[in-house]
Amino acid sequence: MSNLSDFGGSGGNKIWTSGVTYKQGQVVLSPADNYQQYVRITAAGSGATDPKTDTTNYRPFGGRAIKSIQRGVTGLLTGTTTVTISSVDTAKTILWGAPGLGAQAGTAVMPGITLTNSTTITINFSGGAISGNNFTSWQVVEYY
Amino acid sequence: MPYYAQINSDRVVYSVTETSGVIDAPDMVEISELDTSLLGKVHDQETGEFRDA
Repeated sequence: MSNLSDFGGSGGNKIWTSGVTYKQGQVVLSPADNYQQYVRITAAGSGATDPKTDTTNYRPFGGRAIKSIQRGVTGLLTGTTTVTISSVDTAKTILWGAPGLGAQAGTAVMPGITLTNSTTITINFSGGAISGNNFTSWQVVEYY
Repeated sequence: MPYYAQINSDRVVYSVTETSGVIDAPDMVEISELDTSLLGKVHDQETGEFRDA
């Protein structure tokens, strides 16, 4: 290692190029992943596979910028409810739920919220049908 | 960002959503803001308005 930029910080990192040799611990920018940072974890070497998919030799490095945020409030919940969202990469997405309370036979219940697939959120009250003003709010944050 | 009211088979609004892109689906009605007061209202397909159930 001879350059400080080999170790971190995006300011001096190199754009990964096929066939070029990179050192162990060197941070590169992935053209296939919006120039996000990856660190080489194996001995120095070159390759033809972008770090995004070369999981043998590279790992994501540093924080990821937010790509999109979606949010909503869902009500009238009985049993299972599905909500449609714009498509996201589920491997890079976090679903934050802020469940509201519903009433079921006088007992407070809270829903389970799941990112079922790239375009669907599933909200489930496992107790079945409920009554009253039931709602839950949620937020979907997708990262690069 | 676009906003939608999602309706069930009776055209009752059960979710309001801010998405990151346009969604073209028959149960997604575009609205002007994330208006939670629409929850439980019925969407009139002819007028495009929301009325109390």
